[in-house]
Order: sequence, then structure tokens, then C-alpha cells
Amino acid sequence: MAKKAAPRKAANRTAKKPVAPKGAKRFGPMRRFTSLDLTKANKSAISKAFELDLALKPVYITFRWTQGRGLVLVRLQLQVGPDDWRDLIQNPRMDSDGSGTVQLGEFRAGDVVHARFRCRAFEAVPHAAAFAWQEHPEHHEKVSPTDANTITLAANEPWPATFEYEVL
Amino acid sequence: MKHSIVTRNGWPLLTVVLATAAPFSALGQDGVNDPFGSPTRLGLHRSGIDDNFAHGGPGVGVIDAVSNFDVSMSGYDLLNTSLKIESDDNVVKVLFTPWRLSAANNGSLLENTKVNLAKNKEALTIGLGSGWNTSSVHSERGKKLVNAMNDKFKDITSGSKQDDQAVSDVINELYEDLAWKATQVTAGLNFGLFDALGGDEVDADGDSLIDNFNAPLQGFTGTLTGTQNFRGYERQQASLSLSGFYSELYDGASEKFKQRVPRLGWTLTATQMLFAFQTKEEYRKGKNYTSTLFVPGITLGVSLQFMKALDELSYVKNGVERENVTTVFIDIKITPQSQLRLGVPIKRTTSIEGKEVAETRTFFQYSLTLADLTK
Repeated sequence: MAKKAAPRKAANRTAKKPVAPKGAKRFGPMRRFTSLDLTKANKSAISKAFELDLALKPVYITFRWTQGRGLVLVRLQLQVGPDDWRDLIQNPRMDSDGSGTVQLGEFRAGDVVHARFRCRAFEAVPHAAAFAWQEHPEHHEKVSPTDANTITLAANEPWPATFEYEVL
Repeated sequence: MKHSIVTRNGWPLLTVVLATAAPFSALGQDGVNDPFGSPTRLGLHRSGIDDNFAHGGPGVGVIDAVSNFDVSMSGYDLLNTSLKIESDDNVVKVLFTPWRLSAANNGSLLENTKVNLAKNKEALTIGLGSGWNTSSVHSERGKKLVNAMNDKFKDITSGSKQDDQAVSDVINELYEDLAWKATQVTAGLNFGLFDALGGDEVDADGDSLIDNFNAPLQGFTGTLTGTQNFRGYERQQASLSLSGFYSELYDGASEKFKQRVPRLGWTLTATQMLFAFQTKEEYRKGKNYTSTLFVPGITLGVSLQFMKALDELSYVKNGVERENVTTVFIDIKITPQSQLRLGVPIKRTTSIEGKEVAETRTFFQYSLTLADLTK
């Protein structure tokens, strides 16, 4: 089992502003060479831009729930500014596999991701939880529910949550 | 007084409520095959297979039908109970669905199989029942409708103001479609046991030792039921159910003179909701409707039952060879977890000598869902 993520510093969390994954909803969510000035695209500049790209860290949200029970992801949104939320899915999706993952975007270490989602149980779901994570064994956090191990949903019951995640 | 057993995961596995009940004045019913063997609820809920525990033969080992009408449609009820009160007998019944605690959750027959334990003053009965239900989301019909539901989601824009309400409406419509003209076929097998957990102690062989624990099984009852739902979850909801059963239960004047008596019978039950307590707009907003399609109201039902002893007529209790029971009942539905039925059965019996007797009774039946896997 992965170790628990290190406690976050509250001061840093409040100081950071929401960061949007640049490039999302364009050609695709992955951005590369965005720092490159195309009028000065020599070999050195390209390498430097790529180094910055490699510092970007993809952040994901995974929904886990009782396998075999239908759960609908109604909306998943990322905050990109005050009262400005960007939709990460176009249409609601239903699945009964018990697990589903969506990439929230790519961020730099220290960024604080503000996001929210709303699910709805298609049928009764005894257990459900949502996790934000990075591709590192210690970088993960259960973002909902925060007051219990899992949430229980009756049929057609909504499961809304708003959370923040500091990128490590 | 309330006692609960909670699993490690926090599920209320078993809750028992102890309460005292005032005696009810009603005519007696000794061993009448219960007229409520067929589902009378409109809702062919997603997994409930309660009603094949209903039938017993007459005489020793009879357990009246105590169907948990309108058990939670969410289909994850674990433990249901009911109490039927008459003047000379009370029937306590418990239905447990243990395989719902497994991780499969695929709506299989095993997952929907219920264990029945029932007790009246004469006997203890244990049984198993399961079935096939086209109102289940896991049925072939259900899977097609679920796929169609996913197509409807493509018309909803995520993040719009109405997206969540639209999803909720699509889910409700799916369950309404599932309930519409749904068919349910269930089968059950009950074994009558000797009255070992209560009642009179019996010295069967006259050796001054109580033989309750050594007494033979009292026989079995097999039931096959088909139910057709006609109008779905609207105010005009109606259903028709036909059930057939075969039983071989011990019958006789005394412990020493008992014989298994084969019996065959059928039950036809029709129900019609008379009125709902709320308007459609009101109950559609309620949590009970969104999670179970439950409509609070009053339902009128009529049940016709016929039963005939096929052989060993000299052993049949009270010499009754044939029995017809016509029952008019009303269901008062307040919540899915707690429901009440009042009934008036009119029984006509024909003895082996050809003598006909008619009598009228009343009963009161209360049904509760004690534990489920939802909130």
C-alpha cells in the first residue's frame, strides 16, 4: 500500500491561485513546447522549453465505487479563475466497472488544483470514494468523502464534491 | 427496544426491534393456505423474490404468506420481516438475502435468492426462493434500456444548469420503463420443520422424553409464480399474478397417525391502486420515488385461491378436501420500508363427506424492512 502523502502546508495552499491546464479543450489536454518562442526556435531554446515541459506533472482523479453498480459522472470541472469553471467532460457518463479515471490536467509542482464534480448513483451504491493523484507512490489524496472512508448512495442520489489538491 | 449488529464496513447487517402489540380481535384461521402467495405490489422491484415463501399446505407446517409488498426497489434490502395477526394465530416471518453481501452485485439468481424463516403457533418453516424479473436492470431487457439511457446522456451537456436534473430524469424514466409491463417469474421451496423453537413440547413416542428435536420434517411446499405488471408506476398502477403450488406436508389427527398429504392449488391475485396520497408532481420530487419509484397510496386487491388434497384423504386435517378462499384486501402504503395490509378472507371448505362450510375472517399484517445496503 502506498504511503500516506505528506501533510500539506496550509499557508502555501491558500496563497496559490487556481491553475488551468493550458491547452485543455484545444487539440488535446497535453501541452508541450508552450514556452518556446517560435521566432527563436534554435536547438538550445527547444531543449530549454522541453525541460520545462518535463517538469509538468499530470494530475488525475479516480472514482472508485462498488463494482457492478451504475454510477453517472454528471460533471467534472476545473477552476480556472474566480467563478470560472472549465468542463473536463462533455457529456455525463455512466459506468458500472467500479473504477473510472479522468485527467485533470498537467501542472507544475506547488500548483493548487481546484476542482469539483457531481456524480449520481444509477442504482444503490454501498461504497464510493474519489482520489486525486499523481504518478508517484506517495502523491495521492482521497478528496471525497473527507469525513468518512466511503460514501453510500441510494439509487438516483447525487454525490457532489468540491476539492483542492496541491501538486507535489 | 432496538438492537443492531453492524459489520466491519459499517453496514447495518441486522436490526431487531422488539415491541409489544395489542391483541387484535379477528376471527381465527387455522391452517388456511394464505391467499397472498402472489405478489400484490405493483412494483416488480428490481430483485425482490418474496412471494414464493407464501404457500404452505393446510394443517401442520402451514406458514402464511407474508409478502413484503413494495420492498425497496433499490433492490439491496437485506432483511425484511412482517407480522400477521389473527385471533388464534400470529405469523412472524423473516426474509434474509445474504448473498447481497457478496461482491458480485450482478443481479444473479444467487444474489437475489432469499432465505425464509417463518413461525406460527404450530410450526417452523424454512425456505429458499429466487426468480427472474424483467424489471431488473441486470435482465436482458434492463441492459437494453440502460444502453439506450447512455445514448440519452449524449444529448445532455455536462456543466449546463440543467445537467443534473436531466440525468436524474433519465434515470427515473429508465426505471419507469422497466416497471412498465414487467414480468416476474419466481420459484420457491419451503420445508416445514417440527416446532422445535417454541410452542407445545411433544412426547411423540410416549417415553416421557420431549421429541421435538427428533421429530421428522413436516414436508415441503414448492411454488411457481408469474406476475404481470400492467401500467407501471403511475397512479393507475395495476398487476395480475398467477401462482401454482404443490405441497406434501404431514397431516393427521396425532403424532402417531400422520401421513404426508399431497395437495395442489393456485392463486390468482389482482391489484389496483385506488388513489395516491400525493400528486404526481409531488411524489416525483420525493426521495422515495427517485430511489424506489414508491408511490404512497392505497391499493385495493382481490385474491382467489383454490386448493385440493390429492390423496391420503383420511389424514387431512379437519377432513377438509377442498378449499376456496376469496380475499378482499387493502394495502396502505406510507413508506417503502413500512406497510400495512388489512384483509377479509372468505373461506369455503368442502369436507371429504361433501359437507360445505363458509366462514369470514379478518387479519392485519404489518411489513418492515429491517436492513438494507442503502442509506
